[in-house]
Amino acid sequence: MKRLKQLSLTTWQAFTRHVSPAALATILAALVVGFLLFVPPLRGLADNGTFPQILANNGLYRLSGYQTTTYVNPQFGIMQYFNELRGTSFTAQTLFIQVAILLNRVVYSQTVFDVRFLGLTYAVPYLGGIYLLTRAMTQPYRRIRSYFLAVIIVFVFADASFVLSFNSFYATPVMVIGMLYVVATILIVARQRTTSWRLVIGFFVGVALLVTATPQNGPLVLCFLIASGGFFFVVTRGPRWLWLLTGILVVLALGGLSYTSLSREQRAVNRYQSFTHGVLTQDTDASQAIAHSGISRQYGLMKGEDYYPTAFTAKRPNSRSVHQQLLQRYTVGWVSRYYIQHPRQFMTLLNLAASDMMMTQNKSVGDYQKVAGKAPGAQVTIFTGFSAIAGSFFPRRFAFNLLLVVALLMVFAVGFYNDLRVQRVASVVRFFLVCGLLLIFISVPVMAIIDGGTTELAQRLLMVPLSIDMVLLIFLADMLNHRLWHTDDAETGV
Amino acid sequence: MRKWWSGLLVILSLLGGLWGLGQTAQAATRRVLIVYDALNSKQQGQTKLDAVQRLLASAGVQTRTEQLTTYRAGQLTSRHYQGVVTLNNWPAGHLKNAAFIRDRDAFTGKQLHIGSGLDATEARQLRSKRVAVRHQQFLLKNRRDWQLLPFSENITLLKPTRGAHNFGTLTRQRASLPDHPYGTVVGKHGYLPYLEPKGLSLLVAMQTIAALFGKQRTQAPLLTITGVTPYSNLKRVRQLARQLSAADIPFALSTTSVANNTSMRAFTRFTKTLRFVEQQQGVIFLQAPVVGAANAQSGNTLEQLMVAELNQLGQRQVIPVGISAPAYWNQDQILRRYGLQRARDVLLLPNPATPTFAKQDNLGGTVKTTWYGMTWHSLQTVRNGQTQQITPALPTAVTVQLPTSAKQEAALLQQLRRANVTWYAPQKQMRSRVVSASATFGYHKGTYYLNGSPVKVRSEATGVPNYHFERKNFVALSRYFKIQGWILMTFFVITTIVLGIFLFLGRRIYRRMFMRK
Repeated sequence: MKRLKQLSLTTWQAFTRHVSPAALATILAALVVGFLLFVPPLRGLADNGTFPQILANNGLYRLSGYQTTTYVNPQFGIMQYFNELRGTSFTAQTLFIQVAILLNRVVYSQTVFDVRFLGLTYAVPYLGGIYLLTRAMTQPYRRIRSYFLAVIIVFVFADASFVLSFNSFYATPVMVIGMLYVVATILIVARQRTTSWRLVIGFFVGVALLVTATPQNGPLVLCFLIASGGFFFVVTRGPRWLWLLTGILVVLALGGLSYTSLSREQRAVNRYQSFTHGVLTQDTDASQAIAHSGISRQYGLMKGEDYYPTAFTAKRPNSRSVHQQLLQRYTVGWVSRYYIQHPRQFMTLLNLAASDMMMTQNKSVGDYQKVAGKAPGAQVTIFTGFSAIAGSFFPRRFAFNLLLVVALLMVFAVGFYNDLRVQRVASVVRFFLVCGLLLIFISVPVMAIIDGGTTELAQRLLMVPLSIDMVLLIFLADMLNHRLWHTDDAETGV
Repeated sequence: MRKWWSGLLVILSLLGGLWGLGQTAQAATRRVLIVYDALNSKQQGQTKLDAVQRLLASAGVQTRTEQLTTYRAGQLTSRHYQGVVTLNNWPAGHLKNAAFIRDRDAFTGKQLHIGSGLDATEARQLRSKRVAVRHQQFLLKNRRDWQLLPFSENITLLKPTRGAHNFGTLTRQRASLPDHPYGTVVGKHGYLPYLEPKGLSLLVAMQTIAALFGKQRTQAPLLTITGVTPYSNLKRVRQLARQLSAADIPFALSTTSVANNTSMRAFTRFTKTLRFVEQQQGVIFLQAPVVGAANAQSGNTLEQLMVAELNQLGQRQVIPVGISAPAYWNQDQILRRYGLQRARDVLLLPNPATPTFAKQDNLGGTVKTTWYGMTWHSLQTVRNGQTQQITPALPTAVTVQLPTSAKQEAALLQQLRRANVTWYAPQKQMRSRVVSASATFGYHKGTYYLNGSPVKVRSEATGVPNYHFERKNFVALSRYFKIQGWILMTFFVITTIVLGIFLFLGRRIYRRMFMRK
């Protein structure tokens, strides 16, 4: 018995010597990703109707037998001739898709694109991100609790709801990868004696990916500016300070560009649906609520209409009169004023957003290829533990979110205050990061409601679960490492 | 013996009558085949084809449209078709289908040729000589009206012959050259050298088609306001109705409606405005909805939508006299069946830029009266911007868009008052019926009927329950989530307060520790 104990101890020591928590997390994540993406049958996320534009943008086209919503399409055609739509939109996704196409051309085919090359292109930086994040949260320890943390990180971020999107043309993977790098780099930099500039660059690249992932992420650049506020405590003087400022300005410009890259039509769609699925959703007479507001109250009858009607409608939403009499008058100022005057309705909508936000799994589209023989729209059930738990148990009230934010801020503020007193930076940087993430957590639902009403709410709220997952993970990691209230002396090296 | 004979006679005559009835029934359902060479969108071929389809529908003839290339030999027979229309849109294409020409030459029904490419056989059947004219600009004259036509490259005209009915005269700029007829009908054969689906050309073409297909009944045009929706400026609609009524101009109004959200005050206002229009002697055509996306399975959705719209309006004493829709609705099996064929009066409007079909079958149907919608604007070219008396040969609705500004409205009213047109007066002539699933709406010379009993239109709706908005439905689990949320929230509030107290106390203890040292 004693020998057995001795043996297990030596095995454990050998294991910890050769396999760091970060390596363990990376290996586990790689196994999950490898199984979900590359082991037949092909898994992914089916097209919800938004793919064709992205495909055309990247020089791809739909092959015959293309499936929408029910099944995943494994292959696409690569355009061989001039494509007038190429490069008409400005998103970080294009970068990844182009790399994937290049890889596909070199290894596989000049004419047919296999979506798994895109999965691979996402998987490599994603695994790097998992490695960095685990390292940031566990270094320099190799205790059992460090390995426990590594497993938790895999449980949260290698959830099928995130990983399946790698084999698709949604913007989800870009946001997941960006988030991993932003948080990991900032946490590591916070505890380094000498700042690693590679990590700072990594941070800015991560932010750039996040804000250019979709046009609606553009305004989030402000939240990331707050998150990066801690850097100014790390770097206080000299030309490096200027470099930091330059980085911030570049990211700011990217955010602005990303936000304004929305096409005129897309803007009209958002405004229209923000009106019909936001302002007009209420129990009382919507036409009376918008009376004397500058928009004819007759437009209240549009309640529940879509910009692209699925069947029949009384008036074409893209007609000139709707544009002049409704969309041009429907500005952010108008919406804000309306919701200030109708706080109850706004709170109801925010609660709706709160109940949707942890639903990261896109259940409206199928996860399998048609030849797999599954029913149309069949879902992957393996590796969905975290999204299922978070989706069903996270409280569904916006007020709870607000309280959670206050509580978390108070907890992290203690460390901030303690570190400021002893002139250490780690908790200070961490506090700014948490502030930025919590601001995303609170502001994204508000922006989403104002920007597009309740249409496709769960998908437009993706940044919310990402940021709250990160904050809670940071909280857990700091608790396990006993550095929630003050910085320890352990240094993290990279 | 005589009884026996008379009995046999009765039976024979009955049989003969039945046979005859069968014959006439067959004749009535026989269609007219429209064969076109190409759509040639550069010269608005689609609009021309659509005009031909609508004209024939207004003439009360069912049609079938076929492209020249898809025409199969043996398709055109007198047993299946009562007539054929050859529409050539693309003279430069010289498209030919030998089987079609053979079948057409052998065909004994009515024949109409529109556009270029009139061949020798057709000319012989028209008992006329062809004259080819190049690079000319013509002036179309009909009685005292005239219209300057666009410059034409190649055009084949007919020399006037005896025994031919001619409609309109084409005059060239040089007076020395002889005039030629525009529309020609000789017996069962007709010819139109071109088709310009607007203005005087259209009116004359209408006469030609009416004469050839034998449905000539001169009838005043119906003034129709289009472009009205529940979202329109209702004040302007009211004002226009009042002004038209004051000027003694009878009119119709074509409006879309909604099936949802009808409990809103906005819908009450909308229907109140429509009732006002009815009180001002205007009649309402329910305009078919815009098709966003549709397929062969959309029939049920459309049926439910139309029934809901009709019933919601009918409940509020807004009783449509007919259905109006873009022309392509009549060429689509689903849209025609569930949209149009519930009404005796259908108003066909010009097509939108990109029509969305549900199940296109190119089989044009007919109802009792199919109104041909042509714009008021296009009629102003009839004579120097001045409109003369318009007497279309087929049921025609002259459409005006609802003005978008007070200035436009004033201008329109002035034009209408000045125009010397006798308009069709629904309250004197019209008899119509629209069927929804459960109700029948009728209109007869100014009186509205709901399920056969007359309806009095007042300014306030009668018989509509005053709807109260209800709170959201209660879902079983929502209560649980609500309670869960509240419990967590109170838990957090308490924890926060306790934490705050501890922080404060701890800090005091901590400071005291150092104070003593």
